[in-house]
Amino acid sequence: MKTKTLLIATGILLSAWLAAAQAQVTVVNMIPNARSAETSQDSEPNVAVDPANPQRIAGSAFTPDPLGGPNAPIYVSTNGGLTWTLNSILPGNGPFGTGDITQRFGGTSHALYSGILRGGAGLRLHILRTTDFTLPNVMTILVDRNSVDQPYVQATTVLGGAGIGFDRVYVGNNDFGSAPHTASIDRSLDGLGATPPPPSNFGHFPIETRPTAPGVNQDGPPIRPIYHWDGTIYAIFYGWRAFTGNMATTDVVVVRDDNWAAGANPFTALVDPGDLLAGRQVLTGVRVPWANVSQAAFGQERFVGSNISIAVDPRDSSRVYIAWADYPGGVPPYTLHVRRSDDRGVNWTGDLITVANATNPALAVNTHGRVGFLYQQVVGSPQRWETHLRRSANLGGLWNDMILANVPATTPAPQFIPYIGDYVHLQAVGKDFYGIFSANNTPNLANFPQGVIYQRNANFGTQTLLNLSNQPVAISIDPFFFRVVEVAAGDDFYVRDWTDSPASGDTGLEPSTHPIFYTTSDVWNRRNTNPGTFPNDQPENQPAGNGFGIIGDNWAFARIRRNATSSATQTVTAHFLVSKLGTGSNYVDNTVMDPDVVLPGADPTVTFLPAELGPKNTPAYYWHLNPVNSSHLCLAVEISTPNDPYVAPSLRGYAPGWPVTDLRVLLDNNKAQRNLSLSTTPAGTPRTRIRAYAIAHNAATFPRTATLRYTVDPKTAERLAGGAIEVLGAGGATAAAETSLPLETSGTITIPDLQPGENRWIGIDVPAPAGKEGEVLTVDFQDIVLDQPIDGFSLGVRLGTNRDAIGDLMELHRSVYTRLSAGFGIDAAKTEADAADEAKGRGAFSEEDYTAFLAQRLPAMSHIDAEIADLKSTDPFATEAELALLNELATRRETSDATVGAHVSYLNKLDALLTLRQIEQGDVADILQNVRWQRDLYIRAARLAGLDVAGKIVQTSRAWVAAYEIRKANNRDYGDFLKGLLQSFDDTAKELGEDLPGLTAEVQAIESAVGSGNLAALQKAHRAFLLRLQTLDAADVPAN
Amino acid sequence: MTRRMCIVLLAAALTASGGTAAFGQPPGTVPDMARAAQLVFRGTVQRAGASNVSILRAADDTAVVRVDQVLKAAASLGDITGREITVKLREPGSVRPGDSAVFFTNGALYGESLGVVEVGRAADGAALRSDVASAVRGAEEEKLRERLERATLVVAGKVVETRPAAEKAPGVTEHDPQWREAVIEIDTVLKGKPEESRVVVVYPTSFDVMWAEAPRPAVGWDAIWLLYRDQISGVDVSGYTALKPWNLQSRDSLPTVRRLLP
Repeated sequence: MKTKTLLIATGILLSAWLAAAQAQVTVVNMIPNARSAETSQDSEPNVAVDPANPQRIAGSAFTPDPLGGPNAPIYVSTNGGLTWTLNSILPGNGPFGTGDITQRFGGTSHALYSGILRGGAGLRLHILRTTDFTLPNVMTILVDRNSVDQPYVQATTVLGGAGIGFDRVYVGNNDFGSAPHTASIDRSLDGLGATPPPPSNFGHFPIETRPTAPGVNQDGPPIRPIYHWDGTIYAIFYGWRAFTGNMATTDVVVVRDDNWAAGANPFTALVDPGDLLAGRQVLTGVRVPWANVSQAAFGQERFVGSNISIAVDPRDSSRVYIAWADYPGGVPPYTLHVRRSDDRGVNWTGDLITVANATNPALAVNTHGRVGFLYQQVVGSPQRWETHLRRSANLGGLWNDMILANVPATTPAPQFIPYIGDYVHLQAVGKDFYGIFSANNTPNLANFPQGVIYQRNANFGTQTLLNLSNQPVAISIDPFFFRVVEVAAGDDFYVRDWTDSPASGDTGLEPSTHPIFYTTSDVWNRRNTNPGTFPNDQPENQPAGNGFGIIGDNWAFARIRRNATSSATQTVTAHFLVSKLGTGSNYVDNTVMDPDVVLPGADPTVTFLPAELGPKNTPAYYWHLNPVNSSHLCLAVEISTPNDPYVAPSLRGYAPGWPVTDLRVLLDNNKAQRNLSLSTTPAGTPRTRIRAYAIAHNAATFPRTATLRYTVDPKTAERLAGGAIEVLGAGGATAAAETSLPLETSGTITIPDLQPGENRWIGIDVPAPAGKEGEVLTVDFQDIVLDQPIDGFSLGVRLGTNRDAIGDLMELHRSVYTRLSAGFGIDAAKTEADAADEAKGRGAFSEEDYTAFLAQRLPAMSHIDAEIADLKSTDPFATEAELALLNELATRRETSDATVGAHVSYLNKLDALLTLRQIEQGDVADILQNVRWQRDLYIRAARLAGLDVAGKIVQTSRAWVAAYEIRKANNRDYGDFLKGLLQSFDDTAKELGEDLPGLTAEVQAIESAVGSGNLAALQKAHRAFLLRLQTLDAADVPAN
Repeated sequence: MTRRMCIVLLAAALTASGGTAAFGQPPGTVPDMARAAQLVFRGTVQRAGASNVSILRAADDTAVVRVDQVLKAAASLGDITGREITVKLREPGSVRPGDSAVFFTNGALYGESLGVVEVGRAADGAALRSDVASAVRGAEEEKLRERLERATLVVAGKVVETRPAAEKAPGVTEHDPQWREAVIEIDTVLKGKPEESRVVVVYPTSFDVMWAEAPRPAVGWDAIWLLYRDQISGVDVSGYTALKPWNLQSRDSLPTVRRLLP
């Protein structure tokens, strides 16, 4: 009998599991098998998924310690939620466990933070932490305070910039000690460093700024914070303005902080335009019922105004969703509403969706920008509780509806209220949604349309719960975990952003967890079709070759993985892009018509058999770099399958991180980039310096004070002592270095007032270090926006043998002089390139070979230097001085350990100068940026927005950008696009004649360039026009 | 002589000589261990260095033990007789398969099986089981003794009136106890000095999770009342409260209460 029952249960569980797997939805009753006899009302659940390892999940509910011990349990899963274990680690244990618990993991720390009202201790707040939630060790009490309601925790880890690696913890709470401004947030900027006694390092901040309800002098119970990885923190609360005992009249208020709430006046960044007080009143006069007793007409649940939620789009911190509940117009039914803001909470849509007779709204947004909306709704007669997850892929326009549970609402009888809870929770990790809800636990598959897995003993045939002795157990309320896999693990392919060692590398987590995601990534270049070897499990990248014919031939590779097998063979397509070395430079691909970068072939594909996990290399993808182009480049890849597309938009025409802080490489495991330039020097005891450069490009559509942070490993910094960081290239500057900072272990470079599309060069000037062959020493730069790194690059040296260094130098010599010859008409330069090529061909890399080469070539190099005087009319790189140094060293017959560095540095400087001159003639990589800039200017600048032509220009620009992003338009269409707007530009010029005299000439220049068919020239003319318009733009845009 | 044998013999010897600890430190006496432990059972070691709770890593301080007889457990645990559970041992390597003993443990992990943390262990035997049973009974009385000690006032009496209370929660919250008052006509004073023959007890009427277990006195309730001031830290009430089910004892327990009162 016992065996039979178990077989029935097992069979049903298996079929439920298969059904769930097929639907990519898993619903799990969380009561562990050892607790099969339990009948508690495990309501008001919460769930936390460890973003750094989504197999690790913590759950909670009103669940008491089974043995009546002094601590209440959390639910622990280490296998992605399939099975659960109770671990009693919450201090205090009441008859129903602990009160008002919420939990969240740090972003990469694995630490779990909880906010609770201590069980059996009234309104006593604890904020807690454990660094290992699987161990039976009571959590550490970080904050301990009375008279507090509904602590709601959010936590993350700073991924880059100031405070990197620190856990940020935010606990919304209704603090009666702060009356009348009770809506509050407790905040720690270093959660792991918080050390008792309470309040450890937590600060307490009331966020209400307006008078609250007379008589009660307080806000509503729920205060819900949410974070974005760029440091933006939002919170939502009910700002009570009146309270009658059974009805609150309230504002729905959203506050914001733009820098982790780390400043002196946190949560005050969002000011209401009406009363100029902090906190946007999204709605006023909302009526929320208050009935703190079980409601027979509402599935035995109560109304205590605790139903609000907020979520921010991980791709764009400006996009935020809110949900709240009310009586519309003050009358039933209890109704949920969802709205969205696209401008950081200033303006809001109308209702995107409303749901009547529903409670417990919970919102989350995944890395695809898909918003999830979890709620519970009373339906039918007799009443049933339906738990819905709705998802929208178009910003809340259309909503998919998935019913997770449909259970009786009239049984069991409540043991207390809340019956199912005053909240549930939904969390997005990467592409997937994880959630939790409480419901009647009758083992009836019909109640769980997506299938369900029970750990506790249950007979689905007789719809009976069973204890460990196979005796019937009464029905009760249980917590249910669910996971909705948007992309199944077997379909989820990724390219690593980083590899530290064979044992430590990116596992496809979103966001990626390593601050340097552009130097050891699994996208790389080779000079032939062989992908090379993988020392330390890292690809061996080779600098791109530029030149005619085979000299400019390159092959791109990507290494692709997935974390699970699948049932079918799948084909992954890899799309490669390149950009100038540095940060902010827009990527180009085979559709951009960059005359110098040719990516002619079809995208390569890789086939994964069902059982294959990878890594698998793409076939060699041929691309060609023309001689006029610098070989200092970034390389990126976007992989896709029908089931696993990369997150749109593509990098094409964009730089990572722009136009918003979307962190698009970090957030999308289908994208990876390599952004690293190394100069090879002899590993012995070099007596020379290396100077190398990368571009800092303003990829925004507004002027910007750029902030770059650099970091150097402390041991590396010691070896590079005496080095410097330089900023070069402001228009017209002739000084050797506009900014030169001594190299430290870290530092910040500020570049003020960079116009859209404007460039600077960031350089390192470091002594070539001694060391072992094969060592790589880098200075890592991060482009910081809102205190968050959005992109980065590395400059450094690779230590090699003398032959390695000389060999690489020969290639650099060939590359730069080829470029000078082909792109700037310096015929003599071709001789130099040929000489280097010939030396390479002979493998003439000995000390003697190089000394002879230098002696022979220096006179010609000096001659060429004189010949390019025009190019050096403004030379921020001081190439001439570097060449003079090289001449001096050669004259002294110094050996290569002294001369190679000067030679490399001269060539790097010359290369940077050529790029500067080249870009001055226009840049096809910036065409999409121009159009986006134009669109934004005609929206943002009041003077332009008021023109009759503004509507047409904005609409046309929007349409073109949209078409570009889905590859329905490309640079080939740019001329026609601008031609269609010439009349509007002309009208603009006429309207603004007084303000911008001579603007007509800029329009005429565009017209002329359209006729020329030269896309770079057209981009330049268009940019010149936009730069004039930019002077009218006084909008308040983020400077940093 | 093996280390294991030493421990078992020592345990037997100590138990026989007055119920002191089996091994390790500081288990104390059998009554101490029985009081400290939430789960006491007679068990047989099935596998040493093993675990059947997935999140508890098998190590030399874990063992899978079959529960042969439960000697003390909360009813909410259910019957685990015959089940194999994992014991996290006080002393690594201190058991071998086949060992039989009485385990004094506290609950820690409840998953596909039960994981408990050992407080102490003693060699099995009829005398020991009797000691444990006695200690468990004694533990219940000990709890009552402690509660009586903590009580500000202990009286026998009947509720003659209930009425709205002046007490208010610190703010509007779903956890508002919604206080009322019960007036108790005292017939016997067992502890303390009531000012009058009637005492007012404040009690919650809310069905919120925070107060659901609290007694809600009604007119006619006749009991022994353990009344407190400042019963729960942070819950600011000026009157007496009796917020736990055990704050009311039946009249039948009067002799026991008298015996246990200080």
